[in-house]
Amino acid sequence: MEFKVNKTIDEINEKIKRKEVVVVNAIEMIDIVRKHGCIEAAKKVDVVTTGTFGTMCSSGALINFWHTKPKIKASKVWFNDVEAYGGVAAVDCYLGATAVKEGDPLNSIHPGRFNYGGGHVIEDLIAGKKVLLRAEGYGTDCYPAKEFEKEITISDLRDATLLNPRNVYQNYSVAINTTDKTIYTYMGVLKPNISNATYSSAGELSPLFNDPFYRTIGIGTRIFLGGGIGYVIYQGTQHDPDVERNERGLPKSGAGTLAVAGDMKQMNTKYIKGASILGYGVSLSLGIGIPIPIINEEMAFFCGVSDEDIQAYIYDYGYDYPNKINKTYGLVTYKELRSGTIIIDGKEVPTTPLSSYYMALEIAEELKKWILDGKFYLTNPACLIGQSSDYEPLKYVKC
Amino acid sequence: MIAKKVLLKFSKKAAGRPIICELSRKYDLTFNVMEAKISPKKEGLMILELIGTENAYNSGIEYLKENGVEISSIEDRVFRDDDLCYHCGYCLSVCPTDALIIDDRQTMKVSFYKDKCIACELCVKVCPTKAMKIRGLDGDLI
Repeated sequence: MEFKVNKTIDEINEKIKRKEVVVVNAIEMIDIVRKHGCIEAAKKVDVVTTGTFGTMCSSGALINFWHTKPKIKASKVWFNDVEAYGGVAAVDCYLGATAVKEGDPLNSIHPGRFNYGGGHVIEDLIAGKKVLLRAEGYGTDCYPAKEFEKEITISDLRDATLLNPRNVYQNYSVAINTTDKTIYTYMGVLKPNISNATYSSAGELSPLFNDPFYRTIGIGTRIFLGGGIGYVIYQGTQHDPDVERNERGLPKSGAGTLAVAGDMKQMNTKYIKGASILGYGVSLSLGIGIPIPIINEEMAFFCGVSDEDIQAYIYDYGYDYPNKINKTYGLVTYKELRSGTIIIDGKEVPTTPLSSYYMALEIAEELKKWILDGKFYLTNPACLIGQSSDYEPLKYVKC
Repeated sequence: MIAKKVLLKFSKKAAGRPIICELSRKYDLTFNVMEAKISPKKEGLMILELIGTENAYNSGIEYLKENGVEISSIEDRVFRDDDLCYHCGYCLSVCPTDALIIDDRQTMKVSFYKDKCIACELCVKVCPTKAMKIRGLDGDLI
Protein backbone atom coordinates (compact mmCIF):
# COMPACT_ATOMS: atom_id res chain seq x y z
CA MET A 1 0.00 0.00 0.00
CA GLU A 2 1.30 3.42 -0.87
CA PHE A 3 0.48 6.71 0.75
CA LYS A 4 -0.87 9.53 -1.39
CA VAL A 5 0.78 12.17 0.75
CA ASN A 6 4.44 11.76 1.68
CA LYS A 7 6.31 14.31 3.79
CA THR A 8 9.59 13.92 5.60
CA ILE A 9 10.48 15.33 8.98
CA ASP A 10 13.37 17.16 7.33
CA GLU A 11 10.91 18.92 5.01
CA ILE A 12 8.76 19.88 8.01
CA ASN A 13 11.83 21.23 9.83
CA GLU A 14 12.67 23.32 6.75
CA LYS A 15 9.16 24.81 6.98
CA ILE A 16 9.68 25.55 10.68
CA LYS A 17 12.89 27.35 9.78
CA ARG A 18 11.16 29.37 7.04
CA LYS A 19 8.23 30.05 9.39
CA GLU A 20 5.85 28.41 6.94
CA VAL A 21 4.94 25.46 9.06
CA VAL A 22 1.27 24.72 9.79
CA VAL A 23 0.81 23.52 13.34
CA VAL A 24 -2.52 22.76 15.04
CA ASN A 25 -3.36 21.14 18.35
CA ALA A 26 -5.01 17.73 18.53
CA ILE A 27 -8.46 19.24 19.12
CA GLU A 28 -8.25 21.60 16.15
CA MET A 29 -7.20 18.64 13.99
CA ILE A 30 -10.50 16.81 14.66
CA ASP A 31 -12.53 19.39 12.72
CA ILE A 32 -9.92 19.76 9.99
CA VAL A 33 -10.00 16.02 9.23
CA ARG A 34 -13.82 15.92 9.42
CA LYS A 35 -14.16 18.86 7.08
CA HIS A 36 -11.43 18.15 4.53
CA GLY A 37 -10.79 14.41 4.78
CA CYS A 38 -7.46 12.96 5.76
CA ILE A 39 -5.67 13.42 2.43
CA GLU A 40 -6.40 17.15 2.27
CA ALA A 41 -5.72 17.45 6.00
CA ALA A 42 -2.33 15.79 5.52
CA LYS A 43 -1.48 18.25 2.75
CA LYS A 44 -2.61 21.22 4.85
CA VAL A 45 -1.21 20.40 8.29
CA ASP A 46 2.43 19.64 9.08
CA VAL A 47 2.38 19.06 12.82
CA VAL A 48 -0.27 18.19 15.40
CA THR A 49 0.62 18.94 19.00
CA THR A 50 -0.65 16.67 21.78
CA GLY A 51 -0.42 16.91 25.54
CA THR A 52 -1.04 15.16 28.80
CA PHE A 53 -0.80 16.20 32.45
CA GLY A 54 -1.25 13.67 35.21
CA THR A 55 0.22 11.80 38.11
CA MET A 56 2.89 9.46 36.78
CA CYS A 57 4.42 7.32 39.53
CA SER A 58 7.12 5.80 37.37
CA SER A 59 9.22 8.98 37.46
CA GLY A 60 12.34 10.15 39.22
CA ALA A 61 15.49 12.22 39.09
CA LEU A 62 18.98 11.03 38.21
CA ILE A 63 21.21 13.33 40.21
CA ASN A 64 24.97 13.84 40.30
CA PHE A 65 25.80 16.19 43.17
CA TRP A 66 29.53 16.44 42.31
CA HIS A 67 32.52 15.57 44.45
CA THR A 68 32.77 16.72 48.03
CA LYS A 69 36.04 17.63 49.75
CA PRO A 70 37.28 15.15 50.93
CA LYS A 71 35.54 12.86 48.48
CA ILE A 72 32.75 10.47 49.42
CA LYS A 73 31.45 7.28 47.78
CA ALA A 74 27.88 7.96 48.79
CA SER A 75 26.10 4.64 49.21
CA LYS A 76 23.17 6.20 51.03
CA VAL A 77 21.73 9.56 50.01
CA TRP A 78 18.82 11.65 51.24
CA PHE A 79 17.27 14.89 49.99
CA ASN A 80 15.15 16.58 52.67
CA ASP A 81 15.07 13.18 54.42
CA VAL A 82 13.72 11.39 51.35
CA GLU A 83 16.05 8.54 50.49
CA ALA A 84 17.50 8.25 47.00
CA TYR A 85 19.08 5.09 45.61
CA GLY A 86 22.85 5.35 46.05
CA GLY A 87 23.95 2.06 44.53
CA VAL A 88 25.52 3.72 41.50
CA ALA A 89 28.79 5.69 41.12
CA ALA A 90 30.25 7.81 43.93
CA VAL A 91 28.07 10.93 43.67
CA ASP A 92 25.32 9.64 41.37
CA CYS A 93 21.94 8.67 42.78
CA TYR A 94 18.37 8.13 41.67
CA LEU A 95 15.56 9.81 43.56
CA GLY A 96 12.27 8.02 42.91
CA ALA A 97 9.06 10.07 42.78
CA THR A 98 7.21 7.71 45.16
CA ALA A 99 9.86 7.58 47.91
CA VAL A 100 8.27 8.85 51.14
CA LYS A 101 10.05 11.12 53.63
CA GLU A 102 11.57 9.21 56.53
CA GLY A 103 9.39 9.18 59.63
CA ASP A 104 6.14 9.64 57.71
CA PRO A 105 3.30 7.85 59.52
CA LEU A 106 2.35 6.25 56.18
CA ASN A 107 -1.00 4.49 56.50
CA SER A 108 -0.76 3.87 60.26
CA ILE A 109 -3.69 6.26 60.56
CA HIS A 110 -5.63 5.32 57.46
CA PRO A 111 -5.95 7.04 55.03
CA GLY A 112 -2.43 8.51 55.34
CA ARG A 113 -1.76 12.03 54.09
CA PHE A 114 1.74 11.43 52.65
CA ASN A 115 2.76 15.06 52.84
CA TYR A 116 6.26 14.89 51.36
CA GLY A 117 8.35 12.63 49.18
CA GLY A 118 10.48 12.27 46.08
CA GLY A 119 8.02 14.10 43.83
CA HIS A 120 8.06 17.06 46.21
CA VAL A 121 11.88 17.15 46.31
CA ILE A 122 11.86 17.24 42.50
CA GLU A 123 9.38 20.15 42.59
CA ASP A 124 11.41 22.00 45.25
CA LEU A 125 14.62 21.59 43.27
CA ILE A 126 12.97 22.89 40.10
CA ALA A 127 11.49 25.80 42.08
CA GLY A 128 15.07 26.73 43.07
CA LYS A 129 14.41 26.07 46.76
CA LYS A 130 17.12 24.97 49.18
CA VAL A 131 17.15 21.23 49.78
CA LEU A 132 19.16 19.41 52.48
CA LEU A 133 21.48 16.84 50.94
CA ARG A 134 22.78 14.17 53.30
CA ALA A 135 25.06 11.29 52.28
CA GLU A 136 26.80 8.37 53.96
CA GLY A 137 29.67 6.24 52.70
CA TYR A 138 31.72 3.43 54.24
CA GLY A 139 35.04 5.08 53.39
CA THR A 140 37.66 3.87 50.90
CA ASP A 141 41.22 4.91 50.11
CA CYS A 142 40.01 6.99 47.17
CA TYR A 143 36.78 8.16 48.85
CA PRO A 144 37.63 8.61 52.53
CA ALA A 145 34.65 10.71 53.73
CA LYS A 146 31.94 8.82 55.59
CA GLU A 147 29.39 11.60 56.00
CA PHE A 148 28.36 14.69 54.13
CA GLU A 149 25.62 17.21 54.76
CA LYS A 150 24.88 20.47 52.94
CA GLU A 151 22.02 22.67 51.86
CA ILE A 152 22.00 22.77 48.09
CA THR A 153 19.90 24.17 45.26
CA ILE A 154 19.52 22.78 41.76
CA SER A 155 22.30 25.07 40.51
CA ASP A 156 24.76 23.28 42.84
CA LEU A 157 23.99 19.96 41.17
CA ARG A 158 26.28 18.84 38.38
CA ASP A 159 23.42 16.98 36.71
CA ALA A 160 19.70 16.86 37.48
CA THR A 161 17.99 14.72 34.87
CA LEU A 162 14.38 13.76 35.05
CA LEU A 163 14.42 10.07 34.07
CA ASN A 164 11.03 8.43 33.95
CA PRO A 165 10.78 4.72 33.18
CA ARG A 166 7.07 4.78 32.32
CA ASN A 167 5.01 7.83 31.36
CA VAL A 168 2.34 8.81 28.81
CA TYR A 169 0.29 5.63 29.26
CA GLN A 170 -1.77 4.93 26.16
CA ASN A 171 -5.20 4.56 27.76
CA TYR A 172 -6.00 3.46 31.29
CA SER A 173 -8.72 1.72 33.28
CA VAL A 174 -11.89 3.35 34.56
CA ALA A 175 -12.00 2.66 38.31
CA ILE A 176 -15.01 1.80 40.48
CA ASN A 177 -15.47 0.24 43.89
CA THR A 178 -17.95 -2.64 44.30
CA THR A 179 -17.27 -3.19 48.01
CA ASP A 180 -19.27 -1.60 50.84
CA LYS A 181 -16.39 0.57 52.13
CA THR A 182 -14.79 3.75 50.78
CA ILE A 183 -11.32 3.03 49.42
CA TYR A 184 -8.34 5.35 48.88
CA THR A 185 -6.42 4.42 45.74
CA TYR A 186 -4.09 5.92 43.18
CA MET A 187 -7.30 6.30 41.16
CA GLY A 188 -8.59 8.66 43.85
CA VAL A 189 -11.30 8.17 46.46
CA LEU A 190 -13.72 5.47 45.34
CA LYS A 191 -17.01 5.38 47.18
CA PRO A 192 -18.78 2.13 48.07
CA ASN A 193 -21.30 0.26 45.93
CA ILE A 194 -20.22 1.79 42.61
CA SER A 195 -21.15 5.34 43.66
CA ASN A 196 -18.49 7.03 41.51
CA ALA A 197 -16.02 6.26 38.75
CA THR A 198 -12.64 7.83 37.98
CA TYR A 199 -10.58 7.79 34.79
CA SER A 200 -7.13 8.95 33.83
CA SER A 201 -6.33 9.99 30.29
CA ALA A 202 -6.55 13.21 28.33
CA GLY A 203 -8.25 11.11 25.61
CA GLU A 204 -8.24 12.91 22.25
CA LEU A 205 -5.37 15.16 23.40
CA SER A 206 -3.19 12.33 24.69
CA PRO A 207 -0.05 11.66 22.60
CA LEU A 208 -0.38 7.92 22.06
CA PHE A 209 -4.04 8.12 21.02
CA ASN A 210 -2.90 10.34 18.17
CA ASP A 211 -0.14 7.96 17.11
CA PRO A 212 -1.73 4.70 18.21
CA PHE A 213 0.79 2.45 16.42
CA TYR A 214 3.89 4.46 17.44
CA ARG A 215 4.76 5.24 13.80
CA THR A 216 6.28 8.68 14.46
CA ILE A 217 6.93 8.72 18.20
CA GLY A 218 10.03 6.61 18.80
CA ILE A 219 13.43 6.53 20.46
CA GLY A 220 14.91 10.00 20.23
CA THR A 221 11.67 11.93 19.71
CA ARG A 222 12.08 15.43 21.10
CA ILE A 223 9.24 16.39 23.46
CA PHE A 224 7.94 19.02 25.87
CA LEU A 225 8.77 17.67 29.33
CA GLY A 226 7.77 19.54 32.47
CA GLY A 227 8.16 22.90 30.74
CA GLY A 228 11.58 22.10 29.25
CA ILE A 229 12.83 20.03 26.36
CA GLY A 230 13.12 16.29 26.81
CA TYR A 231 13.36 13.14 24.76
CA VAL A 232 11.73 9.75 24.43
CA ILE A 233 14.60 7.45 25.34
CA TYR A 234 12.99 4.03 24.97
CA GLN A 235 9.65 2.31 25.20
CA GLY A 236 8.36 2.51 28.76
CA THR A 237 8.14 -0.41 31.16
CA GLN A 238 4.98 -2.49 30.67
CA HIS A 239 4.79 -1.32 27.03
CA ASP A 240 2.19 -3.66 25.53
CA PRO A 241 1.37 -2.91 21.89
CA ASP A 242 -0.74 -6.05 21.35
CA VAL A 243 -3.75 -5.39 23.59
CA GLU A 244 -7.26 -5.53 22.11
CA ARG A 245 -7.90 -2.63 19.71
CA ASN A 246 -11.09 -1.14 18.24
CA GLU A 247 -11.97 -0.45 14.60
CA ARG A 248 -9.80 2.68 14.61
CA GLY A 249 -6.82 0.75 15.92
CA LEU A 250 -7.13 2.33 19.38
CA PRO A 251 -6.33 0.11 22.36
CA LYS A 252 -9.22 -0.42 24.80
CA SER A 253 -6.97 -0.67 27.86
CA GLY A 254 -3.46 0.34 28.95
CA ALA A 255 -1.12 -0.37 26.02
CA GLY A 256 1.90 1.62 24.85
CA THR A 257 4.13 3.55 27.26
CA LEU A 258 7.21 5.77 26.91
CA ALA A 259 10.40 6.21 28.90
CA VAL A 260 11.44 9.87 28.84
CA ALA A 261 14.30 12.01 30.08
CA GLY A 262 15.12 15.71 30.21
CA ASP A 263 17.12 18.38 31.99
CA MET A 264 15.38 19.45 35.20
CA LYS A 265 17.21 22.78 35.13
CA GLN A 266 15.02 23.87 32.19
CA MET A 267 11.76 22.85 33.83
CA ASN A 268 9.02 24.95 35.41
CA THR A 269 6.92 24.01 38.46
CA LYS A 270 3.82 25.07 36.57
CA TYR A 271 4.21 21.82 34.64
CA ILE A 272 5.72 19.52 37.27
CA LYS A 273 4.46 19.16 40.83
CA GLY A 274 4.88 16.80 43.76
CA ALA A 275 1.68 14.92 44.53
CA SER A 276 0.23 13.50 47.76
CA ILE A 277 -2.39 10.86 47.07
CA LEU A 278 -4.57 10.28 50.14
CA GLY A 279 -4.15 6.76 51.52
CA TYR A 280 -1.81 5.77 48.69
CA GLY A 281 1.46 7.67 48.76
CA VAL A 282 3.51 10.39 47.11
CA SER A 283 4.07 10.79 43.41
CA LEU A 284 4.80 13.30 40.68
CA SER A 285 2.29 15.09 38.47
CA LEU A 286 3.78 16.33 35.27
CA GLY A 287 3.01 17.59 31.83
CA ILE A 288 4.30 16.11 28.60
CA GLY A 289 3.66 17.37 25.08
CA ILE A 290 4.57 15.46 21.93
CA PRO A 291 4.49 16.80 18.37
CA ILE A 292 3.18 14.45 15.72
CA PRO A 293 4.50 15.06 12.23
CA ILE A 294 1.76 14.58 9.64
CA ILE A 295 3.96 12.65 7.24
CA ASN A 296 1.06 11.02 5.37
CA GLU A 297 -2.75 10.72 5.31
CA GLU A 298 -2.62 7.88 7.80
CA MET A 299 -1.14 10.14 10.50
CA ALA A 300 -3.77 12.78 9.62
CA PHE A 301 -6.46 10.13 10.10
CA PHE A 302 -5.01 9.03 13.45
CA CYS A 303 -4.71 12.63 14.66
CA GLY A 304 -8.38 13.19 13.78
CA VAL A 305 -9.30 11.01 16.75
CA SER A 306 -11.95 12.37 19.11
CA ASP A 307 -13.19 11.26 22.52
CA GLU A 308 -16.18 9.41 21.06
CA ASP A 309 -13.76 7.08 19.21
CA ILE A 310 -11.80 6.11 22.32
CA GLN A 311 -12.97 3.47 24.75
CA ALA A 312 -11.80 2.19 28.12
CA TYR A 313 -12.80 -0.77 30.27
CA ILE A 314 -14.24 -0.36 33.75
CA TYR A 315 -12.57 -2.31 36.58
CA ASP A 316 -13.32 -2.80 40.27
CA TYR A 317 -10.53 -1.48 42.51
CA GLY A 318 -12.25 -2.62 45.71
CA TYR A 319 -11.83 -6.36 45.34
CA ASP A 320 -10.77 -7.38 41.82
CA TYR A 321 -7.75 -5.12 41.26
CA PRO A 322 -5.95 -5.88 44.53
CA ASN A 323 -6.56 -9.60 43.99
CA LYS A 324 -5.45 -9.50 40.35
CA ILE A 325 -8.84 -10.58 39.03
CA ASN A 326 -9.29 -9.43 35.46
CA LYS A 327 -13.04 -8.86 35.31
CA THR A 328 -14.58 -5.90 33.51
CA TYR A 329 -17.76 -3.97 34.30
CA GLY A 330 -18.21 -2.64 30.79
CA LEU A 331 -16.67 -0.50 28.09
CA VAL A 332 -17.29 3.26 27.87
CA THR A 333 -16.11 6.06 25.58
CA TYR A 334 -14.16 9.10 26.73
CA LYS A 335 -17.02 11.22 25.45
CA GLU A 336 -19.27 9.53 28.01
CA LEU A 337 -16.61 9.78 30.72
CA ARG A 338 -16.15 13.48 30.06
CA SER A 339 -19.90 14.12 30.14
CA GLY A 340 -19.87 13.49 33.92
CA THR A 341 -21.95 10.31 34.09
CA ILE A 342 -21.78 6.77 32.75
CA ILE A 343 -24.21 3.89 33.05
CA ILE A 344 -23.07 0.76 34.87
CA ASP A 345 -25.59 -2.08 35.17
CA GLY A 346 -28.42 0.36 34.43
CA LYS A 347 -27.31 2.74 37.17
CA GLU A 348 -26.11 6.32 36.56
CA VAL A 349 -22.66 6.75 38.05
CA PRO A 350 -20.88 10.13 38.28
CA THR A 351 -17.44 10.24 36.66
CA THR A 352 -14.49 12.47 37.54
CA PRO A 353 -11.11 12.75 35.86
CA LEU A 354 -7.66 12.41 37.44
CA SER A 355 -5.64 13.56 34.45
CA SER A 356 -5.95 17.25 33.62
CA TYR A 357 -7.51 17.78 30.21
CA TYR A 358 -7.31 21.52 30.87
CA MET A 359 -3.52 21.47 31.32
CA ALA A 360 -3.07 18.95 28.50
CA LEU A 361 -4.59 21.48 26.12
CA GLU A 362 -2.44 24.26 27.54
CA ILE A 363 0.69 22.15 26.93
CA ALA A 364 -0.38 21.33 23.36
CA GLU A 365 -0.83 25.07 22.79
CA GLU A 366 2.54 25.91 24.36
CA LEU A 367 4.32 23.35 22.21
CA LYS A 368 2.52 24.76 19.16
CA LYS A 369 3.90 28.20 20.01
CA TRP A 370 7.43 26.83 20.41
CA ILE A 371 7.27 25.26 16.95
CA LEU A 372 5.72 28.33 15.30
CA ASP A 373 8.40 30.51 16.92
CA GLY A 374 11.13 28.28 15.50
CA LYS A 375 12.30 27.28 18.99
CA PHE A 376 11.48 23.60 18.66
CA TYR A 377 12.37 21.29 15.78
CA LEU A 378 11.10 17.78 15.17
CA THR A 379 13.33 14.71 15.24
CA ASN A 380 13.42 11.51 13.26
CA PRO A 381 13.26 8.62 15.69
CA ALA A 382 16.54 6.69 15.81
CA CYS A 383 14.46 3.54 16.09
CA LEU A 384 10.76 2.77 16.56
CA ILE A 385 9.56 1.31 19.88
CA GLY A 386 7.92 -2.13 20.13
CA GLN A 387 5.41 -2.34 17.28
CA SER A 388 1.94 -3.86 17.24
CA SER A 389 1.40 -7.03 15.22
CA ASP A 390 -1.97 -5.49 14.25
CA TYR A 391 -0.40 -2.74 12.21
CA GLU A 392 -0.34 -2.62 8.43
CA PRO A 393 -0.09 0.65 6.50
CA LEU A 394 -3.56 2.16 5.87
CA LYS A 395 -5.33 -0.87 7.42
CA TYR A 396 -7.42 1.27 9.76
CA VAL A 397 -7.71 4.42 7.70
CA LYS A 398 -11.24 5.46 6.72
CA CYS A 399 -11.46 8.78 4.96
CA MET B 1 -34.38 37.44 54.62
CA ILE B 2 -30.75 36.41 54.70
CA ALA B 3 -29.02 33.03 54.74
CA LYS B 4 -25.50 32.82 56.13
CA LYS B 5 -23.19 29.95 56.93
CA VAL B 6 -21.26 30.18 60.18
CA LEU B 7 -18.77 28.02 62.00
CA LEU B 8 -19.47 27.72 65.71
CA LYS B 9 -16.94 26.60 68.25
CA PHE B 10 -18.32 25.47 71.61
CA SER B 11 -16.18 25.31 74.72
CA LYS B 12 -16.48 22.15 76.83
CA LYS B 13 -18.96 23.97 79.07
CA ALA B 14 -21.12 25.31 76.24
CA ALA B 15 -21.14 22.01 74.34
CA GLY B 16 -23.27 20.38 77.04
CA ARG B 17 -26.19 22.82 76.85
CA PRO B 18 -29.12 23.04 74.39
CA ILE B 19 -28.19 26.38 72.87
CA ILE B 20 -28.96 25.92 69.20
CA CYS B 21 -32.66 25.16 69.56
CA GLU B 22 -33.12 28.57 71.22
CA LEU B 23 -32.16 30.19 67.91
CA SER B 24 -35.41 28.89 66.59
CA ARG B 25 -37.55 29.35 69.71
CA LYS B 26 -36.39 32.80 70.77
CA TYR B 27 -35.11 34.39 67.59
CA ASP B 28 -37.26 32.92 64.84
CA LEU B 29 -34.29 31.66 62.87
CA THR B 30 -34.36 28.58 60.68
CA PHE B 31 -31.19 26.57 60.82
CA ASN B 32 -29.67 23.82 58.78
CA VAL B 33 -26.94 21.77 60.48
CA MET B 34 -24.31 21.07 57.82
CA GLU B 35 -21.77 19.45 60.06
CA ALA B 36 -21.38 18.87 63.78
CA LYS B 37 -18.74 17.11 65.80
CA ILE B 38 -17.46 16.88 69.33
CA SER B 39 -13.72 16.55 69.86
CA PRO B 40 -12.12 14.14 72.35
CA LYS B 41 -11.67 17.19 74.61
CA LYS B 42 -15.49 17.58 74.55
CA GLU B 43 -15.33 20.80 72.55
CA GLY B 44 -17.91 21.15 69.82
CA LEU B 45 -17.61 22.36 66.23
CA MET B 46 -20.68 23.02 64.15
CA ILE B 47 -21.35 24.45 60.73
CA LEU B 48 -24.81 26.02 60.55
CA GLU B 49 -26.71 27.78 57.86
CA LEU B 50 -28.88 30.42 59.52
CA ILE B 51 -31.91 31.74 57.68
CA GLY B 52 -34.04 34.65 58.86
CA THR B 53 -34.38 38.43 58.87
CA GLU B 54 -31.25 40.46 59.38
CA ASN B 55 -32.45 41.56 62.82
CA ALA B 56 -33.15 38.00 63.89
CA TYR B 57 -29.76 36.90 62.58
CA ASN B 58 -27.92 39.63 64.50
CA SER B 59 -29.81 38.92 67.75
CA GLY B 60 -29.20 35.19 67.33
CA ILE B 61 -25.47 35.70 66.85
CA GLU B 62 -25.41 38.00 69.90
CA TYR B 63 -27.17 35.30 71.91
CA LEU B 64 -24.60 32.68 70.83
CA LYS B 65 -21.72 34.94 71.82
CA GLU B 66 -23.28 35.59 75.23
CA ASN B 67 -23.34 31.87 75.75
CA GLY B 68 -19.64 31.43 75.09
CA VAL B 69 -19.85 30.23 71.52
CA GLU B 70 -17.04 31.43 69.24
CA ILE B 71 -18.36 32.39 65.83
CA SER B 72 -16.57 32.74 62.54
CA SER B 73 -17.71 33.02 58.98
CA ILE B 74 -16.92 30.02 56.82
CA GLU B 75 -16.77 32.14 53.71
CA ASP B 76 -13.08 32.07 52.75
CA ARG B 77 -12.35 29.39 55.32
CA VAL B 78 -11.47 26.96 52.54
CA PHE B 79 -9.74 28.53 49.60
CA ARG B 80 -7.78 27.54 46.55
CA ASP B 81 -4.23 28.44 45.63
CA ASP B 82 -4.62 28.82 41.89
CA ASP B 83 -0.87 28.46 41.27
CA LEU B 84 -0.98 24.96 42.68
CA CYS B 85 -4.28 23.77 41.18
CA TYR B 86 -3.80 21.93 37.92
CA HIS B 87 -7.46 21.02 37.42
CA CYS B 88 -6.97 17.27 37.81
CA GLY B 89 -10.33 16.46 39.39
CA TYR B 90 -9.36 14.41 42.48
CA CYS B 91 -11.48 16.76 44.60
CA LEU B 92 -14.63 16.42 42.52
CA SER B 93 -15.63 13.00 43.77
CA VAL B 94 -15.51 14.02 47.44
CA CYS B 95 -17.08 17.50 47.39
CA PRO B 96 -20.57 17.01 48.85
CA THR B 97 -22.09 20.30 47.66
CA ASP B 98 -20.68 20.72 44.13
CA ALA B 99 -18.70 23.74 45.33
CA LEU B 100 -15.94 22.14 43.26
CA ILE B 101 -17.35 21.31 39.87
CA ILE B 102 -16.58 21.16 36.15
CA ASP B 103 -19.03 23.61 34.56
CA ASP B 104 -17.53 23.64 31.12
CA ARG B 105 -17.17 20.17 29.64
CA GLN B 106 -15.17 21.62 26.74
CA THR B 107 -12.27 22.97 28.77
CA MET B 108 -12.74 20.61 31.77
CA LYS B 109 -11.60 23.41 34.09
CA VAL B 110 -12.41 22.83 37.76
CA SER B 111 -14.35 25.76 39.25
CA PHE B 112 -14.57 26.55 42.96
CA TYR B 113 -17.69 28.30 44.28
CA LYS B 114 -16.98 29.60 47.77
CA ASP B 115 -20.64 30.32 48.45
CA LYS B 116 -21.49 26.65 48.11
CA CYS B 117 -18.60 25.50 50.30
CA ILE B 118 -19.53 24.15 53.74
CA ALA B 119 -15.89 23.86 54.84
CA CYS B 120 -16.07 20.08 55.29
CA GLU B 121 -12.40 20.03 54.26
CA LEU B 122 -12.60 16.78 52.30
CA CYS B 123 -11.00 18.47 49.29
CA VAL B 124 -8.16 19.67 51.51
CA LYS B 125 -7.34 16.07 52.38
CA VAL B 126 -7.68 14.79 48.83
CA CYS B 127 -5.99 17.53 46.78
CA PRO B 128 -2.70 16.04 45.51
CA THR B 129 -0.88 19.39 45.31
CA LYS B 130 -2.42 20.88 48.48
CA ALA B 131 -3.95 23.66 46.42
CA MET B 132 -7.05 23.51 48.64
CA LYS B 133 -6.20 25.18 51.95
CA ILE B 134 -7.96 26.01 55.21
CA ARG B 135 -7.78 29.11 57.35
CA GLY B 136 -8.11 28.38 61.05
CA LEU B 137 -10.50 30.16 63.42
CA ASP B 138 -7.86 32.80 64.01
CA GLY B 139 -7.34 33.34 60.30
CA ASP B 140 -3.99 31.53 60.15
CA LEU B 141 -3.30 28.86 57.60
CA ILE B 142 -3.63 25.35 58.92
